[in-house]
Amino acid sequence: MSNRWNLPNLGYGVGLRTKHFSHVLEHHPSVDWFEFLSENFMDTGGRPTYVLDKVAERYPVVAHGVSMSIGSTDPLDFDYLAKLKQLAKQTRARWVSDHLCWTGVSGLNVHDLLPMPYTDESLRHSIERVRTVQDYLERPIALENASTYLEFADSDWTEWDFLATLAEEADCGLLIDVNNIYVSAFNHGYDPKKYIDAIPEDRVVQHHLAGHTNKGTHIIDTHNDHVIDAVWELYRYAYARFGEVPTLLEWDADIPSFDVVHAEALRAAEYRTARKPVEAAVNG
Amino acid sequence: MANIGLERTQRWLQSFIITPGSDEESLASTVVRAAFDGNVEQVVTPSKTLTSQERAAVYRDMYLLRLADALTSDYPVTRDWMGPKVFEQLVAGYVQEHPSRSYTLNRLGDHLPVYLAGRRELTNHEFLHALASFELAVTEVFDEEEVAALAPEQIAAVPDEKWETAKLGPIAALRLRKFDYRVDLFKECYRDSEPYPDPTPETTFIAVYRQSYRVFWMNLTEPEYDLLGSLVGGARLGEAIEKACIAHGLEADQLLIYFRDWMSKDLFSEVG
Repeated sequence: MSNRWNLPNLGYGVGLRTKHFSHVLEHHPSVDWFEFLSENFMDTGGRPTYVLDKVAERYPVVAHGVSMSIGSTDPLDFDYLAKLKQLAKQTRARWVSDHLCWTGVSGLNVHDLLPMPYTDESLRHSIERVRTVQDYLERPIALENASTYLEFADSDWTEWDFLATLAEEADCGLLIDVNNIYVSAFNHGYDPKKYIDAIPEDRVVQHHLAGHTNKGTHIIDTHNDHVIDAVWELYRYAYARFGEVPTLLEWDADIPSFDVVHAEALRAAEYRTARKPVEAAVNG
Repeated sequence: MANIGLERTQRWLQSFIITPGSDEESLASTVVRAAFDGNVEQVVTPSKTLTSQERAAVYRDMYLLRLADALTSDYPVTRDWMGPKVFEQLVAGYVQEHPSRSYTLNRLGDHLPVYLAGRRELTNHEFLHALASFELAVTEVFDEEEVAALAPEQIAAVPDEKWETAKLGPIAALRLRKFDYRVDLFKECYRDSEPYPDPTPETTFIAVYRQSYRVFWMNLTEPEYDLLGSLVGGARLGEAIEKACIAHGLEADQLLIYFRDWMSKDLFSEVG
């Protein structure tokens, strides 16, 4: 089913990365769309901005951020939001996304997607801030589930119920990262399908897929490899529930050639089938 | 369960992540205990495979790695010359003094050259200050706003008699730097995977600039550096040339050759 904003199904996209700038400009690969990391194109007027403008002329693009810090108890950074608004306008970004997380307090930024305690207080706080951001940006945002490595003792909500309620109450979209669900499910010992089942399907505007690093005792979301089979199977399960949703492959470390990344993104088509989902193997 | 609320939970975790020392030392630190003075298990639950402390430490371990990666991309030669281990130790101390306060990591390393200058315990800290300053200039030029350079027809449109009193506006992506070492050689050695020379003091004048979205640098003589510096500072062309001629005993024709070279490198965006 389509999302409630009728945001388009862009197909299979690839994250725009510096390593591929020249390839993309010279070869104009037949990729459906690109997602760019918003912060990488703020405060720079050189080659990155030039490349992004060229890419946005030719392809649909989506702005994906890591520093909105929607869950932080610090005040919202309106200087940042102003730059994001301008960047989204300049590139005609189809939508803007960030994460359900916080990245710092007391004026600092640790540049990580830090986990929220899933409490009533956190929920009220996050709803209020999402509404404020959407009013300012004059568009809905999509919030992504981050990979998490700890759970707070205070939490009295599951992550999926928290996220679903936040999306409904704040009236925002969701970027469901299938790999992140797998990672967090492994780290915290829950069934990833339960997570997917709880998400309101008409709020899902995008999927992410990526590789990760399994340390044995826990998984780190490293975006440095191919998507593993169990995550592909979970993606199949997500497809059965959410239907046609634009899907983006992230590859941020040990980045191979553009063709390898693009081919990995296109693999998603193999899993967009109505077949009965296969059990995703997750160890807790 | 401690029920310490969102604000204290966030202060606690952030303090644990950024406080130096071992995990235990961080947990016992004043700043962490100021946020919550209790056991880690009261804030973070254990998993089947990791203790509460180990789970929180996953974020702590990634913090310095992430910032070191960001600084490596801005200071690749400095890191290479120092060696990864010494550089990582430097990063740990640096981010303690200059933690990120921005939504972007692009400006995290802005204070690193000055920080290096103060690290007298490091061998060659003056050289490292110069090398890092050069790398910072390259990063700044890379990120500067794109400004259209003077077009040939704009230059041609200036009447001959106006050149003496003309003022030239530089492109934003230009930095003039004076160093006490041949730092450019170290960057070239790094680029070409050649062994580094010994860092011996030698006064060096360099212009770092961007043309067609690529960053270049060129060595300048002292007269060139003075003349270009005067022009960038807003002096009229005739005055700047006269001043440089007097200071360095050169003929104006020689300086005009320099000037034409800079025009061909698109260093100016305005003439008026």
